Amino acid sequence: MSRSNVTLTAVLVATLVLPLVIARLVRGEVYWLFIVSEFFVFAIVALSLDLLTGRSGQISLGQSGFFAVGAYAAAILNTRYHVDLAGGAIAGGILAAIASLVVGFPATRLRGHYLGIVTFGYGISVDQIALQWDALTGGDQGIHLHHPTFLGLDVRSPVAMYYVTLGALAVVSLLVWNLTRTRIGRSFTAMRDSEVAAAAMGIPIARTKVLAFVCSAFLAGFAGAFYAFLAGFVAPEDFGIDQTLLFFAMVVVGGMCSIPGTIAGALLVDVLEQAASTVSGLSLAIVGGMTVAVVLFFPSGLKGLLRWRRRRSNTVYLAAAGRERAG
Amino acid sequence: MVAYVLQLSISGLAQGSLYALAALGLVVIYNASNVVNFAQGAMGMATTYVTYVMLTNAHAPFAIAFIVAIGAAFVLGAAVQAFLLRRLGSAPVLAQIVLTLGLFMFIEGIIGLIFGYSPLSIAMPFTIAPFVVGPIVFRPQDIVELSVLFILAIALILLFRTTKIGLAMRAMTQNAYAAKLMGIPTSRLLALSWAIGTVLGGIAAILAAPTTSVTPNMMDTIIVYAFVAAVLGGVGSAIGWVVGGLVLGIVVNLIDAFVAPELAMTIVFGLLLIVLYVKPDGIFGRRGVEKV
Repeated sequence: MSRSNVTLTAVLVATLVLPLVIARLVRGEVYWLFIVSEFFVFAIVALSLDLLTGRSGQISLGQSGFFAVGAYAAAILNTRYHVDLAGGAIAGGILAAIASLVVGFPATRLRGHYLGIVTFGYGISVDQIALQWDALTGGDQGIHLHHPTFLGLDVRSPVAMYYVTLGALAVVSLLVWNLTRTRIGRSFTAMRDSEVAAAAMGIPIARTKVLAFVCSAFLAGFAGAFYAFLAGFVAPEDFGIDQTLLFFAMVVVGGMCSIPGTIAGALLVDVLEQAASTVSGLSLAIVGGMTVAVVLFFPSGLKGLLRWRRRRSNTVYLAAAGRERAG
Repeated sequence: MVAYVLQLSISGLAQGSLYALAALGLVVIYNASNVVNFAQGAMGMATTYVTYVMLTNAHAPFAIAFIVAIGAAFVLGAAVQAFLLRRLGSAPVLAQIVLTLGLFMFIEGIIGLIFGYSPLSIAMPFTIAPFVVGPIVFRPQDIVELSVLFILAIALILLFRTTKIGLAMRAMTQNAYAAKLMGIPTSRLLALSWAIGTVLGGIAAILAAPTTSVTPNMMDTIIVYAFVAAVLGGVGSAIGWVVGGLVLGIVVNLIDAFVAPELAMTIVFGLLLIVLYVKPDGIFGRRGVEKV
C-alpha cells in the first residue's frame, strides 16, 4: 500500500466511525453533524458545477437555481404527497434537469461572457419566482417539511442524516467518475477543449451542450432534495446569488476536473465560510480574496496540491491562464 | 391613465439612464479587453463609499468629494487591470470571469466589514423637491441623471471618434496584436480603458445613491440591468447601449407598476433569453466572424 492509499483509508475510516463515537461521547451536542452533512450536500453541488464548467467548459453562474428547484420539488412533494427523501431526490433531480433546458437551449448559441450573464440572470430569477409564487412555495415563509424519512428510515436523527448525505456524496462521486470515462464524458471534454475540433470529429455540439446542462442540473437538483430534508425547511434566501458564488468558489479553489480536488475545495470554502460567518462581510472577503489568489497564482487549485507529490500529468484547465497565446 | 403611463415612463427614463451609464462603463472595458467586468457594480459601490467618507468624515464640499471619488475610481480601475487582469494574459474566458467574480465578492466583503450593512446616505448638492409640468411630476434627480448620461455619452463618442487616444483604442478593439505592432502602447491603453469604465460605473453608483441608499450591495440590481442593456445594445454600437439602457428603464418601471416589482428581473431575463436566442449578438450587434 502506498502512502497516499494509507492516508485515504485513514480519512475514510475516520469519516465513517467518528460521528458514532462523538455522538456517544457528547450527547445532544450534534450541531456539528448537521454542519458536516451540509458540507456533503454542498460538495455534491460543487461536483455538479465541476461537471458543467470544469469538464464541459460551459459557464454557469446560476447553479443555485438548479439546487433550489430540487429543494423545492422535494419539499412540496413531501408536504403534499408524503414522498420520502429517495423519491424526492430523484424527482428533484429530474425537475431541475427539465428546468435547466431554459438555459440549456440558449446556451447552444451562446458562449463565454454571454452565457455567464444569462445563467447569472437565471439564478436570480429562480430565487424571485420562489419568493413570488407563494401558493406553491410559501413565499418568504418557506416550507417546513414533515415526516423526513429515507426508504423507511427516520432521518430526523443527525447521525442518520450524516450517513445518508455521505452515501449520496459517494454515489454522486462514483457517478461522475464513471461518466467521465464514457463516450458522453469524453465528448464533454472534447467540446470544452475545442468546439470546432469536436464538431469536426463528429460530436453534435448543440446536443452535447444541452446534455451537459441536463446532467449537471440533475445532480444539483438531487443535492437540493437532500438539503431540504437536512434543514427541514426551504426558503428563498437559501438560494441567493451569494450561494451561487460560494459554489463557484468551491470549484475554482478545488482546481476543476478532479473529484478529490473539488471535494477538498468545497471543504475549504465551507469551513472558512462557517468560521467567518459571525462577522458580516468577513466570509465574503475571505472567499473572494481566495478565489482571486487561486486564479492568479495557483490556477490548478487544491487539485494541484493533491497531485503535487505524484507528478502525474494532468489537464489543468485554469492553468492555461499563465500561458501566452501567440498573436 | 395616459398621464400615469407617461409619468412612469419619465421616471423609468431616469432610472434607465443609470443602467445606460453603467452599461457604457462595462462596454468601454469589454471593447478594450474582451472582459465582462462582473466586479463593475462593486467597484462603483466602493466609489460611492469614498464620496461618503469625504462628505461625512472629512467634511469636504460635494464638488471636492466627487472629484476625489472619481480620482479613486480611476486609480482603482487602472490598478485592477494592471495588477490583476494583466497577469492573466490571454487566459480562457473562464479565468477572467472567475477573477472579476472573486473581486466582486472581495470588494463587497471588505466594504461590508469596514462600514457594515446598515444603509448610509449621501447629501446631494441639488434640491430634492419635485416640480410639476402639466400632469407630470419631475424630480431634479431625474433631470440630473439624464443630463449626466447625455453629456458623458457625447464625450465618449467624441473621445472615440476625434482623438488620437480614441483612434488607438478602436484599433486595439479591432486587432490588439496588430495595434501593438503599429506602436500603440496597448498595455497603457488597457489600463486607461479600465479606468474610464470604472469612473463611468462610479458616477452611475453615486447618482444612484439617493434612491438605493449607500449599502455594500446597492449596485447589485443596477449592474444586472446594465449587463442586460449592454447585451441588448450589442457589441460595438454606442447608440445601442444608451437606447438599450433607457428602454430597459421604462420597461422595468412599467413591470414594477403593472405586474409585480419582484418579478421585474425575471421578466427582463426572459426577454433577454428570447432576444439572445434569436439574435445571439444583441439587437444592434453585428455578427462577429469566428476565427479558428
